[in-house]
Amino acid sequence: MKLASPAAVTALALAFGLAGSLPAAAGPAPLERAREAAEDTPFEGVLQVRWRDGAETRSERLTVAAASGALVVRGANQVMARPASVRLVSHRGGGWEELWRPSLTPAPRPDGSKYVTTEPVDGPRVAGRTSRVVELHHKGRLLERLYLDKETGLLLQRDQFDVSRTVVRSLAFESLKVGDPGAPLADPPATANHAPKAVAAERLGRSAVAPGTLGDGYERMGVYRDGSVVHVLYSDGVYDLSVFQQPGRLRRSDVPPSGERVVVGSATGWRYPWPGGQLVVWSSGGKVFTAVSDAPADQVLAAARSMPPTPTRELSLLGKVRRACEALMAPLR
Amino acid sequence: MSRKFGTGGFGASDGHLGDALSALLDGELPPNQETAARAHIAGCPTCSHELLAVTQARSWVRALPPVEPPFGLYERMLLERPQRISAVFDTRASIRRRAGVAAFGAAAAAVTVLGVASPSQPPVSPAVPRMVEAHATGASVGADLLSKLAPVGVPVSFGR
Repeated sequence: MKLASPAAVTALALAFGLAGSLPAAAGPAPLERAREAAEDTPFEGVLQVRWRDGAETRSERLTVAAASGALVVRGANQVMARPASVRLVSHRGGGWEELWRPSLTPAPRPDGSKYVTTEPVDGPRVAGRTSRVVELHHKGRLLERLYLDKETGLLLQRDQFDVSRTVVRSLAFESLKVGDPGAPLADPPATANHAPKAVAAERLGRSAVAPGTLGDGYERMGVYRDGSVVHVLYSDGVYDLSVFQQPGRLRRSDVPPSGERVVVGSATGWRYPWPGGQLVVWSSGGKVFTAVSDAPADQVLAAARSMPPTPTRELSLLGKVRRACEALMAPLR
Repeated sequence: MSRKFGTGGFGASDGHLGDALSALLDGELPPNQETAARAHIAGCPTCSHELLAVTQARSWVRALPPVEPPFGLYERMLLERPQRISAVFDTRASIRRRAGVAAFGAAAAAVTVLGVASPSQPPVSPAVPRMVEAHATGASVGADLLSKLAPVGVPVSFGR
């Protein structure tokens, strides 16, 4: 009997989702190689972003170009990454706004050792390029399948799965040209500074809560303030999670009606998908919290639920009127 | 028989809802307490009547027109000469009367500020698109740029 070729065995393993049983290693080393490749390799291409929004799957096409450590994404919004952590955004053809600058560089990421990655195996061609496939698992569950360019290590496609192993979010090159893109990426003209300010977690006082760790291994990397909004950035080494806090309360009428109702601690919240992941909005103790992340939905909820309870509860309207009237009448007794 | 409410420190000690009624109307009760409160009201005439009264009182307070200062008050305060002010307060009786009026005015202002003008934290609508961008740009530092930044090329919308 003729034995199957190694390539056919690999293809079968992928087709039946058995790649997770191949030899595995701790930590997301393939993602680190993809990061280095995106910074070192000049390329340009068309990238398709797909994400599940309720029962519907939505998609958008973006053009991407990279050279000399800079990267530009062009869609309805434009995003630019420049060396030394400078990040700029332009909305619908408007001027460039600087949203991140070198002085805000967060603490180093955790090593992502809670995840297990499979050994790379030969994969299908993506955008005309030969790929190697790696899977990312957590507690025995397939979270992601990464298709990396065999020649450069560049990320060609990234699929994120839900618990039923259905793709809920995907980035995939439709076309890709590796090599010098020709004209250098233009420096943006004058930019408006909309970057937040870095603050020490110890100096937040009662204005916000910023625990050093959140559920499922998320570690705090930085704390920032933009006006009355405090932004705490966390990472588990693969996914990142931001918790935004601002004074106020949340009314159902102030959030889009399409959200899925969830429970966060003793509060009601709403969960929404965005092209890059999930976000959860809830209100507690006189503050409104918004958690934004590229992590799977269950991890985002677990992290949100691990936020410590806010200490004070505001008096209701009747309570405040009573308190004020008592204060007014006290001198007359 | 109605179910007792308030084990979480909200309701009054007599087994009725008390302040929790106002919190219920403001939508500030957690889901489980809201359900319990509504179940209690359904079987408790006292709380049912108080709920009606609180609802009516809230509508009266919110229907009050804003109080405008008399025309020219600020201009007169700024332009009044010191000697004219001292002439007004030229007797002890006048000083006591004016002090009483000032104290009452300060107390009324305190009631307005503490009790009515800021009944609770103001409602806010989070600037989600800006937060998504702040998250993605911050998270992209030291990470795979394509994975973290590309989604920001698509404007955030939730089909409102």
